[in-house]
Amino acid sequence: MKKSTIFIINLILLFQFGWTEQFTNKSVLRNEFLNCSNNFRISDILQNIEGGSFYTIGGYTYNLVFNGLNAYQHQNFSLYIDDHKISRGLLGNKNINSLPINLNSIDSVTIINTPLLYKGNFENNGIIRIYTNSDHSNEQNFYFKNRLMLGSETKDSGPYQYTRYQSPNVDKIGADYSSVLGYKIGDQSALVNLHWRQNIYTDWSINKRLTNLNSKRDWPMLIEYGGAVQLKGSFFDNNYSLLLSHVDANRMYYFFEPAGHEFPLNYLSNYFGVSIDRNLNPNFDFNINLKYESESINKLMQEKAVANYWALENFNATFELLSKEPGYIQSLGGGLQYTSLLSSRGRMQDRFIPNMYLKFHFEPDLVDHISISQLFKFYRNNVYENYGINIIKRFNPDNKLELMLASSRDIMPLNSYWYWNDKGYLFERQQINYNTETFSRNQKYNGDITWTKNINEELSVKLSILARYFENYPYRHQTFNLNKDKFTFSSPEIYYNAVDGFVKGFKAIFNWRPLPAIHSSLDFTILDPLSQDQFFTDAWHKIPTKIVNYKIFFKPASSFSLQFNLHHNSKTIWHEFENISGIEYFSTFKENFIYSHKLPGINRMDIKMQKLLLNRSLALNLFLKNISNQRIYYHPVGAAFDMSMYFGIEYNF
Amino acid sequence: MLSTQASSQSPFSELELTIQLDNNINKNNFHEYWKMNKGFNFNYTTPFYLGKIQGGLNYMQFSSKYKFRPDFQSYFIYAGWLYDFQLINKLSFAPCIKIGNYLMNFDIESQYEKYESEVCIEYSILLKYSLNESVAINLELGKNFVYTYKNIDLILLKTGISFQLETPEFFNGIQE
Repeated sequence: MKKSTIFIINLILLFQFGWTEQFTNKSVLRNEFLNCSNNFRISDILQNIEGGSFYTIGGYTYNLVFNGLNAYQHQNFSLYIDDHKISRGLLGNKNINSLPINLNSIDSVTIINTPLLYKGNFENNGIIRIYTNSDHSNEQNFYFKNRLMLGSETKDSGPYQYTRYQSPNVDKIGADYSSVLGYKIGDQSALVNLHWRQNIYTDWSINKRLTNLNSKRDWPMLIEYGGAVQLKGSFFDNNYSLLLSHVDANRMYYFFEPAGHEFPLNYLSNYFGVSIDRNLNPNFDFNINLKYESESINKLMQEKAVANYWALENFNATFELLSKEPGYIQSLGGGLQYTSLLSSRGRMQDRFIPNMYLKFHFEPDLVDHISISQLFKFYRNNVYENYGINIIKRFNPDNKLELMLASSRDIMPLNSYWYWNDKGYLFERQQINYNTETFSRNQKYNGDITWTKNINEELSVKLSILARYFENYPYRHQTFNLNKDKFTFSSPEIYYNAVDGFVKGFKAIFNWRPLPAIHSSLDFTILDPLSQDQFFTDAWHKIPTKIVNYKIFFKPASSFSLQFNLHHNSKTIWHEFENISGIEYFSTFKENFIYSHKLPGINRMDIKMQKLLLNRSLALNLFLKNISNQRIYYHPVGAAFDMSMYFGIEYNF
Repeated sequence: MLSTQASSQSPFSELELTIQLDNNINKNNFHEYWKMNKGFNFNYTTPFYLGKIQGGLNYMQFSSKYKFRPDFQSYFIYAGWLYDFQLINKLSFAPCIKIGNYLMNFDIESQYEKYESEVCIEYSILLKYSLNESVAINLELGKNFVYTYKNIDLILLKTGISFQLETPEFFNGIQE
């Protein structure tokens, strides 16, 4: 069916029906089960998400994908802290560990795996929404939490450093320190987060090149500090939510794929956003969001392989009008986005990008819920259309079937390196070829069918069939070779935009709560990429085709909890690193370590314990990760993650 | 006939303080370079929801067999779990697992290389003979495994004495 036909049909429906925000296929990780404070970093709580996979090179920046919605090259999933969308991207990487909030201020995390129009944005790559304790729903009116977490990875040399069995040191992990101050008076609440985080990069597989890249010749170590202030409340019948944050990461060793190695960066990000809701009358709501966001990168090293300075500013304003009738809700919204890049090459600006959207929801007799949404983005004389339809059929309160279909065409995220590359920005010394004129033609179609059944009060089952079709998928092709002098990698880049492919998948989730003190879940996901185009399947071979998670949470008493996680994912293949496969990066008295572009499957077992003391004001956390002590690689040239032990202490005033 | 003890006790209702002397009884590559001079283990054990938990410190002193390699002391700070089985009237045995940080302090000048720490796990069997209601003697055979790249693998035979106390009221306040 032609797009124009779909548009006309939807427009007709729009004026007959309404809409409400009812998304499906989401995972809600509640703090009761999540026990956020008994994790080391935010990335830890996302490592056992159903249908999710990730890779990390140095252990601090993470690349995530969910449910086959995209490949690792496009980190286009969206991050929300309460009502605020955090758009920053560090040249395409949304580092979840650099968020300005702390684990002990998180109430719950929701992962939305299906494309939908969400808070004025058409989100077609998945959403991570973090709910903080900003409204104090689970807390006292005043609290002050302080948390210190330390970790240690195995395989230090120990006393053998003085013998023929010597090996280099693999140092501690962390420390991470955070404070959270919460205050509530009447219906006004405030939450202040402060953090100080450290990451040391000493793994043998990355140490040689980092030592070569480190002009100061000291320990390759990140130190990051930051904070956020959140205010929530009401004034003159308006509800407001405000977020102000700042993060300053010093010496973040960021692996920049176009360059083929890490850069020690100083990375700064700022955010100011306010969201205001007004209930004009019982049937009419109005919402406005204003946001200013900036991020900047200063490169520490002298080598002119990348720009020395890169600063992005983003201003965003959206509004929404929502009218409600029984069984019928409709809304009209729109927004303006303005972005500018200031780099050592000069200022590159972008004009305002307006968008407009329509959503409606209705409840016909045949099914229980239908919602339809459309968003149009206007950019460079083009209209970018996004459509979504969600149908729910409830057979009874414990048995429902959901269908979600979406079609989306979007410009590259404005915070990404891809976008500015497309506009003509090139780093120095960059060898680049375009097999495409623009990335703007890529189109994605998604379909999800989910059946949910509560078998009894203890057991529930959720089964999903997933289908994604990518048309003109943008793909950066690289073939890395080793630079023997610095032990870094280099590759020419070729950008393609004529790659088509299909991904089908199946997902099953079982939740079992045999006793109030025991909660367990088992999920497995199968993803299968199909394409005539080798580049498309290459991009998906980096993502495990089979992912299994088993989690059991045991809380025999209110002051003690135990959690056991088991994760399996199948092997992955990273074709672009084929030329460095077999190269030795380190040798010891008993082993030679080589890079490989084929990573074996991962079986990881983690165990977490938390004991509360002193009338629950003091929490002791012990967390063992990878207890079978496998040498786990998430990336061909990334660090190996052996068994690690973490210890944390948290005191609540 | 075996019977279990811990299941009948409410969490934190008792406190058992134990002190032991360590003996290292195995030989491997590690012992080409160092020998253990002495070691002390101190822990407290209390009933938990299932079995018992303990927290403790095991101090060990190692002397080098060569002048150019330093002596070192280790401090294994651990949390443990064990489950008591009654063998006969006054004799019980308990399988234990201890997990913690193994801090090493080398006798060298350089502050940079003086300290190292590593993950350590110890599995053991504890035999305990009660002399009366509050005093018992014990014998523990354990495998102490330090996860350095070349592992430190010690089999320890520990003997000692333990004292059973009612958990003081203030201690209950801490533990809940």
